[in-house]
Amino acid sequence: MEKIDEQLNNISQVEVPTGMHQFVMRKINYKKLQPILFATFTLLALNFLVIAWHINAKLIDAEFTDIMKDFFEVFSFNFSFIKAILESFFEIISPLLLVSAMLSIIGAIYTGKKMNFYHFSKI
Amino acid sequence: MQNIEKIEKDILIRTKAGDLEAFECILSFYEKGIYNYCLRILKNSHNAKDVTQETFIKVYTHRKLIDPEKNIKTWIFTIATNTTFDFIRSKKRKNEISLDTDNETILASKAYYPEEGLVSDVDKALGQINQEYKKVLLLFYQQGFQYQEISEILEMPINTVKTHISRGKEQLKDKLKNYLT
Repeated sequence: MEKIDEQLNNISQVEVPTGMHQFVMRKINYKKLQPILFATFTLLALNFLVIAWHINAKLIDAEFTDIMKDFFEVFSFNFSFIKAILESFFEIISPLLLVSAMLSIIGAIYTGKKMNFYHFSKI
Repeated sequence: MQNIEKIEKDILIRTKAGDLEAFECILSFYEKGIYNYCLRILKNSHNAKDVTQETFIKVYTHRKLIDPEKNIKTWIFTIATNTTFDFIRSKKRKNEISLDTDNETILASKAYYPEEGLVSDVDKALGQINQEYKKVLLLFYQQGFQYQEISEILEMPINTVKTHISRGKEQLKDKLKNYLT
C-alpha cells in the first residue's frame, strides 16, 4: 500500500494548453465590457435607424423616385451634370446627415464584431 | 509565512472588488491544478480545457462570494468539481459520452491516454477505477487537500472520504497488477 501512496504522490502534472490563460482573461474582460459594448451597439444601431428613417422621409417628401426617373431620362456623363445632380441631392439631404448615418452603421458593425469575437471566439 | 498570507488575502480582497490583475494571479496559480484534475476525470484534453475555462469564468462571475478569511483553493475546486460533473451530465444527456464502468474500461484500454500526456501506469489504472474514488484520490494525493477540505468540496462526511480513499487505493492496486504482470 505504501508503494501505491508513493505512486499517487508522484502523479505527473500536465502543462495547461497554450492560449488557455489568455482565453479566460479575454472572456473575463468581455464580462466587464459586455454592458458597455451592448449599450454602445444599441445606441449606434438606434441612431442609424432614426437617421435612415429621417432620410427616407425627406426623400419621399422631395419625390425622389420622380427625380431619379428624370435623371435617367436626361442623363449625360459630364462633370457639370453630375455636379448639378449632387448639389440638388445634397439640398434634399445634408451631407452631415449622411456622414452621421455612415459613422453610426460603421460603429455598430465594429461593436457588433467585437461582441461576436469575445462571445464566440475559441482558442 | 505571515507575509504570504497577507499577500494572498490582499489578492482575494482585490479580486472580490473586481481587480483583473488580482484575478489573473489566482488564475495563474490554480489553472494547472484545475486542468490536471479535470483532465484525469474527463480523460480528454479538449473537454478538460473547456471545463477549466468555465470554472474560472464562474470564479470571476461569483467573485462576490469569495471569503478572504477562507481557503480559496477549496472553493475553486468545489466549483471545478461541480462544473466537471455538470459537463458530464450534459454530455450524457446528449449521449455524447457514457461514463459507466464498462465504457471507462474501454476508453482506457484504447490507448486513449498518450495523446493527453497521461502515460504512466498509475494514470492508466486511475482511468479504470470508480469515478467517486478517483475524485477523492486526486484531491488527496494530486492536489494535497486534507480530509476536511475534501469533505467540503465533495459535500460528503469525512468518514466517507476516508473510506473512498482506502477503497480507491484497493481498486488502484488491483488495476495496477494488470500493468505489472
